[in-house]
Amino acid sequence: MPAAQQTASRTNTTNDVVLSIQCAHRSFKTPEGGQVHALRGVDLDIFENEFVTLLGPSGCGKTTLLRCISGFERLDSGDIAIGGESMARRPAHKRPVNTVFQSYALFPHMTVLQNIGYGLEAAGVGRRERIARSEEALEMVGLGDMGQRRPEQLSGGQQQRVALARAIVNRPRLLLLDEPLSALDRNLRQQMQIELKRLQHELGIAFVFVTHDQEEALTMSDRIAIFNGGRIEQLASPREIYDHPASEFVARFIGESNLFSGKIADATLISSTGNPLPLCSKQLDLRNFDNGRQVTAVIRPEHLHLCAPEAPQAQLNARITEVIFLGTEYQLICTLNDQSLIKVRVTDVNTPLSVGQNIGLSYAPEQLHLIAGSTPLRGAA
Amino acid sequence: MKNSSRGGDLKRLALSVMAASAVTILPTHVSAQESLNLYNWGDYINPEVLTRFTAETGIEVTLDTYGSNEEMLAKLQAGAKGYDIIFPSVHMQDVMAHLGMLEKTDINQYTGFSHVDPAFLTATTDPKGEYCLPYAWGSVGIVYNKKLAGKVTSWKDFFALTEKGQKVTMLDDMRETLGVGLIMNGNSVNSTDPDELKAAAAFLEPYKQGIAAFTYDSIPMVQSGDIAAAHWYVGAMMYVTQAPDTLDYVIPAEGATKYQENMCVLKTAPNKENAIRFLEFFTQPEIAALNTAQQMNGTANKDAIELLPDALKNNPNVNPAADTMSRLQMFTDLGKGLRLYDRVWTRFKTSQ
Amino acid sequence: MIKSNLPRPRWLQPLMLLSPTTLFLLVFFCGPLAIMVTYSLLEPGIYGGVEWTFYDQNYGRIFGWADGLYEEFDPIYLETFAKSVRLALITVATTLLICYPAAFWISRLPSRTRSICMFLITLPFFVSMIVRLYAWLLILRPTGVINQLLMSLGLISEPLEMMYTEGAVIVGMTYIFLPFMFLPIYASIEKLPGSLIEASQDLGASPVRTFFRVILPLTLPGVISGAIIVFIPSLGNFIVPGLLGGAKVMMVGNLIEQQFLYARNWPFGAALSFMIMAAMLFLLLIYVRVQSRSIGASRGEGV
Repeated sequence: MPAAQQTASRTNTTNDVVLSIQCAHRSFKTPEGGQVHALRGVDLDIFENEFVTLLGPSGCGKTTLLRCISGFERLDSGDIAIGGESMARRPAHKRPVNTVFQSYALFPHMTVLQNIGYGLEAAGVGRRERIARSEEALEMVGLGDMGQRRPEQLSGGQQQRVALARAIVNRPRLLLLDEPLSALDRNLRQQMQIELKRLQHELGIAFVFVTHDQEEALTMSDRIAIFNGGRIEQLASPREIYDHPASEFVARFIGESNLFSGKIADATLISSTGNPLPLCSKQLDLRNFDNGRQVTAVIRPEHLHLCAPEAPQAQLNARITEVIFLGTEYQLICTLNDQSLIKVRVTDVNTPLSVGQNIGLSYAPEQLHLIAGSTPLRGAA
Repeated sequence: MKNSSRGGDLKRLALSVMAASAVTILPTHVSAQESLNLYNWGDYINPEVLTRFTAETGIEVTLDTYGSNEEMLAKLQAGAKGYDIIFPSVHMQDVMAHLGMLEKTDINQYTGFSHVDPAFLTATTDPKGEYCLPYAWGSVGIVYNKKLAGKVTSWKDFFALTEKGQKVTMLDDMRETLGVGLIMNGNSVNSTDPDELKAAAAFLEPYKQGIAAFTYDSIPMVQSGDIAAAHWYVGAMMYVTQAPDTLDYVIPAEGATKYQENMCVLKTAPNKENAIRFLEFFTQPEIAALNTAQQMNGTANKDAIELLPDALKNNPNVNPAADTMSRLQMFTDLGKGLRLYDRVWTRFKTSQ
Repeated sequence: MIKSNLPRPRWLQPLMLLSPTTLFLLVFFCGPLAIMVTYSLLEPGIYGGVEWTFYDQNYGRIFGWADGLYEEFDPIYLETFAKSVRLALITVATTLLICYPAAFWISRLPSRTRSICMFLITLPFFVSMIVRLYAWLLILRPTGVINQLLMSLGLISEPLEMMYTEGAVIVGMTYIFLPFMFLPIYASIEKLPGSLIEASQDLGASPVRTFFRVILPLTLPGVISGAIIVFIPSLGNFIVPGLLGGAKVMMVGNLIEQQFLYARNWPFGAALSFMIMAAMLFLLLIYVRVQSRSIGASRGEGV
């Protein structure tokens, strides 16, 4: 678990914080006269050479936060500091950050090389050095021979690389990436994910990456900040977030999950599914969950195992509603006794499965992750 | 009133440029007996005259308007159809007679023609009145603001205002304005001698600074005191009677030009009989007087003068005495000579 | 070519290939142009119209080879033309100076306010131009609003002479042609993605640099279109100089008006008109070439 280790080691070295956001608030007026709270008290520290992803559904505030960091939006209250220096009074063009825009925002009237050299030109770098560094940056993103082209002559992926080169050539303290891969097709996106990660290692610049794509976030990030309704719901390594989601929202947003809510009674969960679900007593002790406590249990589809219906080890009984073949495995959608649905992954593709078949499901209690307090939730997410 | 809208509406000028290619199509009535289409200067006939005519004869009258003789001619030349009666100035009547556009009406054979003063049979192409009926006439003099200009009786007074730093306007009409220069040099307003024309422009040249504009829209400016005096038509009397303390109109002592328009029937007229009936109708002194009282200009109907209100009848600027009359000159068509005016005029206006 | 068996006359075939656009241009552009060129080479009729004999004196009056009693060369025609070009260029400059910032500002407004602004800008089109110009006469005259205000404030003791001056003509033309400059500029500014401006700032460019390196080059097509759309009618305008210039400020449009309406010299008017048309065609050709070159360059022919 290298990511988790990194996070652990980082917490010890608080002196190399590159970006520090404290209690950031921002609201907007809607045209109808209402107010939208895009940020409601966000705290976030990002360390040198770290890849942090801001993840969440659209409208959760992640893009607003990015724009506040780059200086295109102002905070209502709170502070953003880069390298220990407050950015409150600094206009966008004086901040040591660069952005890769979702639309790439390449200047259509300039060549690729002119685009890349634009930031250096603004910084007063001489022509010769400018060209040398621009060409170097272009090499870095693998487009060495495209310098004289115009942006519109490039493919989407190539434009993406130019936008990246244009941002990194300035050696910013922080690189902001605003959903940069969303316009690319799947294969190209995966390739770019790897490349971005490589670049980040080579450059040693902290990356703040905004996306709504959880797979992207899990693949690339050192840490992920899950945004919801203008707040950070959870800030942790991908593994931590996957295994121990801090809230139902995180559980539903990251990966596939089945949620059961109910009350704790003698190391079991009494929920509407019928049978009491066994819980891991170690976890209960660790988190001081007493009997009668209202909780939500999360179990990932791959942690459920098939067995014969009504078999002794079966903790849940269900009927198969749908069978989806995914190549290396099956996904089953099953109906529980209370008519709620549950997702199951079956890796043994030779098991005969058919719709309408009754099955039993079992799990190891330590795989059932508990989330405190809940609103009544039903079934799978 | 013809004169206030003569060129006052620049849009008309724009329209007339297009006239070269445009063809006006008038709605032609199914029954020709019932209609009559007039093509006249803007506001140049008392609407009550038309109402009376319709009441008496049952003939519906439609009225279309133009802003200059040339506009009317250009539209007719470009093929405008459907008009019965037009109101050309005398020199334009001559042009149209040469072009064979006018219908012989024998209006002089009608008993009512005896009311017409023969002195107004001024068209060289129609000395007996076989074609057209003299309609109205007027002088082109000076309208001025009494408070600013004091008393003005002559062109000398008029130009003296500019020397005192006051502003005047003159008409944006090359023949009228160069005509003033010709009069001041003792020449005919119909001169086609290039040297006389140059001399006329040279006379005006020293006053150019004081001439604020060449325009037709002068009356409101004179009234508000933006300018002291303006070269303008006798139609200004309409405003003078409304503001007698501020405004006055005078025929300058050195002389001035006069204009006269006649009613003519077109060869292409669809309702010739109705048109002739209208001409006959207009020979009645009370109808001519009805028109003149509203238009405040001169009438060619000698028996109508007696029927006019006293203020108008006794006004020496509207019905001048014989010696004043003798100093009024009328324009004749100059043919190619017009181009000499154009050249001198353009040069005069553009010179700094 | 495949031999056609259809009983169609051979000469008709190229005609049938004409698209509606070509036909439209032929009827409404080339037709009038041809009439004008023809007329400009004919002798004027005494009572207006033309005599159908070839006559080079109309251009002779303008360019120098006429030397007769009725047709005399005079440099004032070229001088007037030069003056018209100057006034039209000033009009382009003033409209541009007003419209560019205004368009930029309006494009950044919330959509509702923006549509109100757009409505206000097109509103004057609903009122006759003559009426609007008369309103300027009322504002500029010695007893008008501006002079009265300045005098009541004690800033001036004598009314300023604003009416019937070249300045008044420029004010009037600027006012009349503002929307023609505004709309193309607005369109190009609105098309400009906000992200490009942000990208420029993000890369460390000051607002001034952003303007000259990104915003201006990318909105230049709109500026050029606006400049041409304003320049062309300004050059031929005769109503504004007639009304606000008191016919003392003469532009080539006034000369043409004079020829058709008072001098009854259609061929000379046509010759003057053709001068304007030639200037406009020349400008449009340059514009088209610049446009096609920039498209060519963006296609990479300049690598």
